[in-house]
Amino acid sequence: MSEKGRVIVVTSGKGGVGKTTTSASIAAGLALKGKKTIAIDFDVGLRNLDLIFGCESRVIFDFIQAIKGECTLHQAIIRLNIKDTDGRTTEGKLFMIPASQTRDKTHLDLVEVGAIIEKLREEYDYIICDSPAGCEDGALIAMHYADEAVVVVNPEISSIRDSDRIIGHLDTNTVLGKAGVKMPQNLLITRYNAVDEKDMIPMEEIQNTLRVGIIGVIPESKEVIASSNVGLPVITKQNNPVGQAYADVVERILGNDVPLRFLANNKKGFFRKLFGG
Amino acid sequence: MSYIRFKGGMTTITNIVIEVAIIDKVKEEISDFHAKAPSLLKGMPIVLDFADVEVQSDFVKEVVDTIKSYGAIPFGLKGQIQIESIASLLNLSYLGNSNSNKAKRVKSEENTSDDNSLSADSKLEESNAEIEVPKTKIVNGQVRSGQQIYARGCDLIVLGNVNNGSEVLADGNIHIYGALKGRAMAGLRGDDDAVIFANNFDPEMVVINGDYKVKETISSESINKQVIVTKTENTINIETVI
Repeated sequence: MSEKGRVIVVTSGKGGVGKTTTSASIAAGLALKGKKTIAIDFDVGLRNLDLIFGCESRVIFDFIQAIKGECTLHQAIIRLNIKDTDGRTTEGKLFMIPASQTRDKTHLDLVEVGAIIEKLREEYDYIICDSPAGCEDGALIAMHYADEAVVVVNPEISSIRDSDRIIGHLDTNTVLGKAGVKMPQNLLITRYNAVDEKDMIPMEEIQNTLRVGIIGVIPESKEVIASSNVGLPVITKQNNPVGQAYADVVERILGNDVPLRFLANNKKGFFRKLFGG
Repeated sequence: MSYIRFKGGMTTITNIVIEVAIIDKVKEEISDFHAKAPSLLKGMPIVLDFADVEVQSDFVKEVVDTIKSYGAIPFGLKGQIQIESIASLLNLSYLGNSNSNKAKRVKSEENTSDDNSLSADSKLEESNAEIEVPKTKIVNGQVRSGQQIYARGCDLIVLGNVNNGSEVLADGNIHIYGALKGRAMAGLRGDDDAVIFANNFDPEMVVINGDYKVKETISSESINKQVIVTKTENTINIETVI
């Protein structure tokens, strides 16, 4: 590989907004597009990413053990073979490192995590860091080495407020931020209900408050929970709007300009303005 | 050539004026101040002004230690002449009595008005001296929830929003080119003439030198408008700019 891998942190501040769902779908989506991708679960003590990937039973070693040298890095990596409804597979392209369930976030060490990320950059095209909730050490370490951030936000006041706080940390408490470089940040609005739009905080207001570009809007759907429960990233459901919306997000991460879908009709004008389409 | 140079300079220093010599109350108020603006006291040079309050050296030492414990650097004392010996005991400078300073200044002004040639001389001297213009602090972007920006000894300009849960403070004026949704405190160290300008006004709180208005007490007419916040005689005024 000529170029080093790109580190993307999926973060939000608030819990339950869809970070893990998003991490799993973006990682799987990039792998389905042929990019060698690894997802790291930083939520030490509240291990979830392996459940969404349906590989809980295959977890032997974990991220903390790899950090502490209790196993090799490769022993902690799980290879995943996931198939989507269009028949594409992630064969040989999708990997993950599970979090430790028995330790807590105090075991994450900034320098040691940095060494692991550097090793992974040599081997993978994309490294997806699934951040824990909160704005303490766990979340700060997950974002520290990122080249880019996906900030997951629900159209709801506390989520927007927490995202604002997290974006402040992305700007100041990361390698890029400390070097005075503006980290590319993308807003991903999840659980967007196009039917009851009037009950949500309007997208203009989210954009005005956070002043960060929107990389996607994921509609609210039961399919998200249904997929999680069977251990499949929802992006594999290419016959469902949620899966298609995540596929669009992956396209945009790869630099392809695709229009936003699954919004109520009256919002089209606004997005056309936003993306100049 | 000389290797060092002694240069006169005017620097703004925060004075903490002790009004009553009750140590618990003093400690409590310093602690309250620190709770409101945790980063403010850190490294801040401070002069303790006891004005005309009668104090013992134990009391002064305790106040000095309290201020130090919050990271501030007390370096001088003001007050009646007996403070001088306490200052030397604590290895601090004695800077005279602020009340008598004021009296002296008025007197010298009277003198110059009597003697025109002297005033012309002193004016010339002034114009030759190096004038240090305080530099405005500029924030090129958003101030986000949990962030606190302090423009020490100068004005503050924020090009983006001051979001909910954030705080901007300045010893001078505050200009916000985006929306003010958090807290803004101007004239922090005793300037009643400081103003706060916001392009889109929807604050949690605005403060000018200790007097404040919270959102509940702000008329809805000025919300989301371009406004200028000023203070006259302990009252905060909010005017929309047309």
